[in-house]
Amino acid sequence: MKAAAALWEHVWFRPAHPLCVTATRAILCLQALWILLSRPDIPDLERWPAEFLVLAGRALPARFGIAGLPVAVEWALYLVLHAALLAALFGLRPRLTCLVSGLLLYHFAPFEEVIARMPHTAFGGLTVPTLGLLVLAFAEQPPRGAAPSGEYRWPFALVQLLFALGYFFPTLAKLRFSGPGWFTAENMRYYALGNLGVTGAPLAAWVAERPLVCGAIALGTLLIEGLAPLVVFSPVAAMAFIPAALLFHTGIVLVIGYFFPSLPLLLLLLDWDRIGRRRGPPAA
Amino acid sequence: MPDLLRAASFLGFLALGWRVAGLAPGAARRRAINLFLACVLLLSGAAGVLQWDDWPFTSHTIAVGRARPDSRVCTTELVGVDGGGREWRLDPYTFTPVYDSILQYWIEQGLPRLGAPEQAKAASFLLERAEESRRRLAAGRALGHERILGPLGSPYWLLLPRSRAAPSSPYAALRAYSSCWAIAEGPGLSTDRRLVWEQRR
Repeated sequence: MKAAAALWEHVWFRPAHPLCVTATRAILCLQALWILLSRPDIPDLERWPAEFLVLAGRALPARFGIAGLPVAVEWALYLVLHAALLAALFGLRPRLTCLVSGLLLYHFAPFEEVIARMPHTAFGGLTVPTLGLLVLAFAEQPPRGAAPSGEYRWPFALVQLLFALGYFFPTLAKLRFSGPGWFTAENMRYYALGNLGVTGAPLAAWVAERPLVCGAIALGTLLIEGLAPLVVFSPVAAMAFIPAALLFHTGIVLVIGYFFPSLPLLLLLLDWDRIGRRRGPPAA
Repeated sequence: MPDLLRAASFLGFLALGWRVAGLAPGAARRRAINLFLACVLLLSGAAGVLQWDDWPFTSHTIAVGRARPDSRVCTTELVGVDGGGREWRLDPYTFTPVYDSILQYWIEQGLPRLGAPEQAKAASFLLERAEESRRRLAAGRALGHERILGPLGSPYWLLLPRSRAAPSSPYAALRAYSSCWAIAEGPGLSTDRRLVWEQRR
């Protein structure tokens, strides 16, 4: 029990440089802006006839405030979201602007997939920014020249953990729905071939012909996804995770044609505490 | 009811966070932070372990099935038909902000649930949308994630092949074809490509 309490204290409350919070805020804002600017007509979904909500029903859209607001209002809110993200990025009223950004992301992120009951909204690149900006809205925002504090650790570590769970939970799901047999060369081979006809991924056929490569992909997937939570406990593990994950996602694009829109969030795993301390003591 | 519970979980997250924000440093604040952290861990853990998606607390369920040589892959292909009767494969961003694969799912699962007049209304809307995108493409303008950021935009996660070719004249109809194949056979051996619906002007 004592060891668990010490671990809890270490993970969430050991002093962290204020840069941990400001860097997290900047990365989340830039990620959200990147996705939003890549989805410039999201509010236009309000123009779609109500027939398209036949699968979604009423309760699911209502949960996210998708309730037939006039299109002009949705466009205005979308502009407010961009402005709030820019303000948060530059540290203007950061708690308020993070709160507004997080709530509006909660509203807009489901738009793309709501007609199909949001099968892959988690994978759309806005999940961690939505939760992360709300976490930052509730956390202490470091004033200029602030000293390292546990107040800057817990929001930073929590956002890192939320990002890492995006790797770890898919492994749990694979084990639950397919068992350990998911992580085999044969499964990778047929995943590559199955997606070849859908996405036309450039290396699918090449990989499918090579059992050793398929086996390496299966093992690599298990290691990267299964060990992801370590990034919260160890900055060394976090730094090692970044190049491994970059290789992992590049391979996925080339072999099965799945892009990872949250890729820039790997920057969250840099050792911002150390970077901040190396820059010298905060200015008085 | 499940959506009500999910909404309540998000409101609970906000309420606990709000409480943290309102407390000055001290023991009470530390307790509130611990409770907030426990809440996030519980909601995220429940979503991941129980596979009970509660976005933004999510199960991250993707690519979890086991692929076998006899696994069936099915797609619904959307094509526009020009005035001369030629079919044009539609770009996956044609119906932006809804991506092709999401619309495929809706056509397979949602369209059959509608009555004939509602189906016609939805299909007519899609035809108009396809025509808007055709005009953009024919004018050399970008669709979807490339509209503002160009090639630096973030694509949708499923990288379906792009199809930027578009006729210079308006679409006269929109068609959807369904086809399935076994993985071991490959799409070239699909035996049952069939027209599932057509919307004419």
